[in-house]
Amino acid sequence: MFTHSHAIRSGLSGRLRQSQQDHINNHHNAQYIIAAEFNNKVGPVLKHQYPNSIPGFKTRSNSKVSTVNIASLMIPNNAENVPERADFTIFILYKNKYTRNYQIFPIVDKVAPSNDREALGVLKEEEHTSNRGMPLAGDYLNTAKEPPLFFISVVNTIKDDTNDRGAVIKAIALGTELRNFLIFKPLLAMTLDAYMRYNGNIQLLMDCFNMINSLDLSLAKRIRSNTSLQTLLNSLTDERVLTDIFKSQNHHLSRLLHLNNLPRTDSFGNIISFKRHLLEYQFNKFKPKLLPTALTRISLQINVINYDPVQVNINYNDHVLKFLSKFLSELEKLPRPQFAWKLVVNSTKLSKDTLTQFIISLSNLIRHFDFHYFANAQVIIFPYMDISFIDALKEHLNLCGNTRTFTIVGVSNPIFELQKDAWDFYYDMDTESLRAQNLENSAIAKHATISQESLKSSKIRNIFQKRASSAVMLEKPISRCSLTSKMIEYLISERHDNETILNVFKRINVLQILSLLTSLRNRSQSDSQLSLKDEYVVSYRDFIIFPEFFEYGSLKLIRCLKELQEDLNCIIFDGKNPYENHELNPFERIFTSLKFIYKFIASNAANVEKFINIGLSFPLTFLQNEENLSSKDFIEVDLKELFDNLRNSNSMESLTYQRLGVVDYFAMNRFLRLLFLPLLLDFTIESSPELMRYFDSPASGYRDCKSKKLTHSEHQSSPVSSWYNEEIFFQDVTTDEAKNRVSSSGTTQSSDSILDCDYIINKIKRVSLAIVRKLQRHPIGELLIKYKLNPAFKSIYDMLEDDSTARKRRAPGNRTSLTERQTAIGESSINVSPNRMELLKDLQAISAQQESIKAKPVLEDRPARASILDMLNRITVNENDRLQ
Amino acid sequence: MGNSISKVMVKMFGYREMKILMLGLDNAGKTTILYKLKLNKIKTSAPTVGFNVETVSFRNVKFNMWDVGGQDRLRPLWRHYFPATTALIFVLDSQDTERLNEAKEELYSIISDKEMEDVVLLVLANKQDLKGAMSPQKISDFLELKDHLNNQLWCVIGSNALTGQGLVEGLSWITNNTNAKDKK
Repeated sequence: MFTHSHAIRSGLSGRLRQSQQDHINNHHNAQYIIAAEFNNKVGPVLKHQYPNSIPGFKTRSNSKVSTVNIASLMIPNNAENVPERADFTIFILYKNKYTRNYQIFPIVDKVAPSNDREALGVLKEEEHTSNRGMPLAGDYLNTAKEPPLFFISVVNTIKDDTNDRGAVIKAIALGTELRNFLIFKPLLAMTLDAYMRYNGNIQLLMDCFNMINSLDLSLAKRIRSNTSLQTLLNSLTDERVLTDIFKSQNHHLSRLLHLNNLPRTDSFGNIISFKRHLLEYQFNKFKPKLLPTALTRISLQINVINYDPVQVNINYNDHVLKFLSKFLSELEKLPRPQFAWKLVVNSTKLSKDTLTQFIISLSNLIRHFDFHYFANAQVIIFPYMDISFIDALKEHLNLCGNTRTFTIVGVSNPIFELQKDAWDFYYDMDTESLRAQNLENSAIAKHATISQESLKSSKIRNIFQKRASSAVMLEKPISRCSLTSKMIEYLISERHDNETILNVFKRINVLQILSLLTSLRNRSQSDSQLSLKDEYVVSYRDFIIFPEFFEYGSLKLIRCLKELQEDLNCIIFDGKNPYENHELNPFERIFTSLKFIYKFIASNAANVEKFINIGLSFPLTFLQNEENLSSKDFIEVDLKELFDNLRNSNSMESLTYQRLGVVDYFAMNRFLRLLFLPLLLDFTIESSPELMRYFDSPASGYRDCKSKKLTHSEHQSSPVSSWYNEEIFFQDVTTDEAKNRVSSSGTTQSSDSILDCDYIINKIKRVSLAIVRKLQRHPIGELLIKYKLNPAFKSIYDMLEDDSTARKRRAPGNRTSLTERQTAIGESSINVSPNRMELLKDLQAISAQQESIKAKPVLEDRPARASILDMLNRITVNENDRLQ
Repeated sequence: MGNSISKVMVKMFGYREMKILMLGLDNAGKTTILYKLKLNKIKTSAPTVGFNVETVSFRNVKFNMWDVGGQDRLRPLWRHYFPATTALIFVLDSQDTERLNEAKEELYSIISDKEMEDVVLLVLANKQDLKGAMSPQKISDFLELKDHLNNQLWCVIGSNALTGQGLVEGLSWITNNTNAKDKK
């Protein structure tokens, strides 16, 4: 008997009360199993449906009149050409809540009126303005929709001399709501093999179906549906971190899942085991009636990490990137009035398994099954389509408005190229060629026929008119190379794995969001009528989107990290204030950013995961600086040269001295150093004349307005302030302590300014330490710090923590601080140049001085920041690791 | 653009490309004919699921030959393959006299489609080697093409896909008659 935490127990309570037979009968894991065969006289026909007929597909129609024959999706074109080799297809059925029937195309919420405005692609004004944020697909599918049923189908052809045509072609498909339906492929393939040998005995299907439903997969479902954890696991690329998470003796996984122990069986006694990131279920409690018992010895392997919204098992480098490199440049050429597009992907040479997974992977890039790609536009994902569905497709396109529907359809028949009203883009995977129809002329012509008057209440007018005049709208768009396209070139040439590819796309997503936010800020308030995500889709059209970054809290964090980076860069490196007219100085802004971060992560555990995920996806923001990424052309940009220059610049990037490829450098984690660099702030260094001006001005004095300004800014930037009430980290340091330090600083600045500087730096350090502590309490945060943090940072953190602990223990009168000791070191050993540009020049000299300091006991002396920066440049975690 | 390149090729080298659509009831021998022409091999171990498409070069003509499955449920899909067809090869099983009427109905259904009114029609009376096979002449009479196809070029040729008999003759007829049509 395994031990569940309370949360798991309550979640499972419903299931735990069930007997296994009840559980089987409730079809928690699979809803249908169906079989089809190729009839020599009729063609593909459905043979069996279990446990009952799929509503909407009840008739085993052999007549010509049936327009939708799902058997033709199970027995795809040319299935006879690869005998004795199983192939797979995927199709999706959607249930209409009202009719209770399934259908082959998504449910259409409203029938689009066929007036000109709609024909142009005009989107209706949103009815619920309060729900403008980012509707989940589940929300959006509102009243008439249920989760789709994914069918994974396996087909095989077996030569058979007793058959009048020499071969038997059969297929079976399993319908499930589980997005990781690919896990059933081995079991289905073996069941099909038995089904063909036993001449299509339905008992085999029943056994397979019941066997799958005999497992209680609630644990796997629970793990995979934990969005914040999954997005975080997705962002982890370090193999050591991943390995440690899944090492059973470390208990990291059970902590992440809030379990006392990882269960060893499911609720019916089926054995569960964790093998790295695979959760294995054994069918040891199920006895099949006809299915060979050997099949029950096959384990069901479920990946604990949910890399894709709908699981795929293909290498993006083989097909997806090549497609994207061509497709994105064509999308760029789409004139603004032509917004939605229809894509048909053909392959006659690749397996249907590859083709259908390719289509699913494209749907994953737009997160179709979780979110809406764009406002209330329809998206049709059809992994494999037979020519028999072409009329139904066209009819459906007419129903939901041809020009406001995105379609991605996989086919294995070049005749689709002649069906020109079914596609705007036709991609041939075999030849890797993309054909676009003359979109510009048709769209512009269509647009020109619509009077401006008819657009009055349309939203689409606003989308495009706020960017350009009507005349500009009609211009042929300028072809450019976007950042995504540019990075894809490098991703293809450097051949990276799927995880790296997705992480690069995430960073681009964040960068482009930052750029979009900047451009939106420059627009008038009334201008923006779309949600940010829709603005993003309209602005960039680069097909790939990660909705988790568009959440309010995420956006705030992204902005916070960016500002933190810029301000740290200003103070520690180049001295250039990125926000000259801001009411707060860089120190105050750092404190405000850190304080927001702390409050965010202190509110709940899921927020820690969100924060780490955003941190791990935080990009190289220097690429975005002041440039509008939606219009910048990267065609002539040499990223390698650009990154080399960054490494040699007077910026945080100079901390990276390793030679990395373009992708590795771009995808490098810059997160931890952002949290630890504030610990290097030292008022004896920061109190240079150029930084002291932030405290000397305005004339009224910083101290007079300090509390007001901070309070104001905190109020503005911390909408979550009510989440956390512990104010200890934000309280003032004792003025006596500060005064003591001022008296020993020996600078020429006014003592008030120095006091202010010291005051804010102490607050920054305290909140920074508090953030790191929170991070360390999270299993993944702990592992990141263990494996990914530069040891120099680690030792600084340990010293400061020791110091903080010691200070708490000491009586107030006996207090000495790290800063005091550092001040003493600075005074006695070397004079740090106040000029930031000269700071790095001093590093060599300081480093030499610090050699002797480092040799001394830790409690005696601490290294100053300059030498620490030097250390950061010299220390690597190991040869292959990246510095933070 | 592609079309103009074709025209230049024709003028310079007499080289042409054309789309041939091969239809007929199931088990008529369409796929066997296709691969006999393409590979000079017999490749029939299973019914065609969907279609096969191959290019066959003959004289100065590159034939893009589409062979579409003839099962009952697949026949309504034939029309999707009609666009841009130059010639239709309708294949009949000469021995399957029981379904000859069914074949005739399907043939007339095809050639009555507007998209197919300009194509040249070659009927291959296949499986001539089998006992009881109807002769091409008898099949021609049965189909009554003479009475109904006044504006369309057509021809009935006996064939045996296993040996290749009649196949080259059929392609030759298409080549000559589409040439003739071009000259008009």
